[in-house]
Amino acid sequence: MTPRRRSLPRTLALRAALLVAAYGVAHLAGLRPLTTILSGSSPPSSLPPLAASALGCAYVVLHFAAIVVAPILAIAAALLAAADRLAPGRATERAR
Amino acid sequence: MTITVLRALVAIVVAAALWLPALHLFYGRSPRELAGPLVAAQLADDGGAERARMRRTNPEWDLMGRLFLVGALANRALADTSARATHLAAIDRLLDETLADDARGGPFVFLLPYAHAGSFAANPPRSLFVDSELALMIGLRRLIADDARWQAAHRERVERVSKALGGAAWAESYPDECWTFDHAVALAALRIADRVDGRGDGRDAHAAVIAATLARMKRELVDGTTGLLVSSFGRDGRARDGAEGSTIWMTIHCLALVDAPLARDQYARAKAALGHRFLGFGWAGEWPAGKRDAVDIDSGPVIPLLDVSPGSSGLMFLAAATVGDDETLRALTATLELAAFPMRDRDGRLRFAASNQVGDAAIAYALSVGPAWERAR
Repeated sequence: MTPRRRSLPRTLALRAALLVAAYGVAHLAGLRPLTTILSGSSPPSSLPPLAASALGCAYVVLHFAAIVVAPILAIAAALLAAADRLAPGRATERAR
Repeated sequence: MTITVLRALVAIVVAAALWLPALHLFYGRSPRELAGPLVAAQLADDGGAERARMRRTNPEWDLMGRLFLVGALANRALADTSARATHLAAIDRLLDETLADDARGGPFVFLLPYAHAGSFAANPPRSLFVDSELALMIGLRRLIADDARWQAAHRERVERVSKALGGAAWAESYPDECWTFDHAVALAALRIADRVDGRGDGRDAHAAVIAATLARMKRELVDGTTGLLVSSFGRDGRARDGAEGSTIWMTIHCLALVDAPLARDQYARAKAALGHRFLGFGWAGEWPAGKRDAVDIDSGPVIPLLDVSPGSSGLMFLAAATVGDDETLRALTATLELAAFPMRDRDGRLRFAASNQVGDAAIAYALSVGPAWERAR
């Protein structure tokens, strides 16, 4: 018995969810104010400036990943799932 | 396997084609809606904690932040008489604080440390940057409601500015360093001084110095390639920094008060040279294409590839609002909401995490402009 492979739509949806979850964690961790580095200002934090700047940059990356990339992955997952539903035979063939 | 990858790629491309053009629709807030919450947040920082933090990076931003906040409050006080008393009180507090700072340390309080590296032509040292912004701040205050309390301080600064602009050499902001930004602010300050203290018969006290400075700017400060006003130059008028977003947008805003055709011409050129639009979002770069310079304290960070300058983009609000370019204003607002990380508190006050006090104040001012310039014309 071979382990069942995860379908492509599920894989994409899972990645979208992971990006959103990572962004949520960064947000809850209070990293948003550290993005003030984009204005050239020193971050309002007791962290060392370099660490605060790195976390601010990480927040920016995760923000765009969650706002721009994750919805694209989610829409792509939905499109593929719809295509598989419309042509289930071909999807099974491809999964082999 | 190859077919799976291909399917995924096709699906992602189609999804991107659906999502990206629609993204700006989620950031379609009306620009003017932001002004009130931004001003409220600025007023909540009454002790100036944000400004104090910002001073550590650049003391110029402290003075500019105060000017933009006074500008926002003045325009809102003129537009809404019910808020006038509150806004006037806030302006008076800022003026008291700023004049006290100026009395304590002179222009050096608001200048970067390199101001000490050379000697100002004027003795005692005078910076057009400081004097013009102070003259404009007090002038805006008097434009709403004149008060004898501010007249002497205002007239003193206005005369300093007028004298500096009327000299044979260009007026310094730093030793042998002159800025178009500060000359434009000075011109607006003189026009407002004429409005509050002038005769109102077209022969105002500073009409001649305003006209002469404008003529000289057009003659000596226009970049031959872009047709834009350069940013900085020596006392002899020799250009140092070419056109820059951190200077040109505020310059356009101030020129609109004294030479509307020049302001419109500069706006059209600056928008073509520095403005960017993509999928409903708008932003500005710091330098025209092919004229990229080194990132410095004035430019602020510039995000490569996309050519996003947060400083230039923030000040582009001011120029777009001044010339009534609502389409650009909406595109800039969409970008601001997407990429500047708005933070709203329970009382509806708004600030942008990726910005700072001067950035937020500039946007609050931009989204409030109109009534003060109308009254001063």
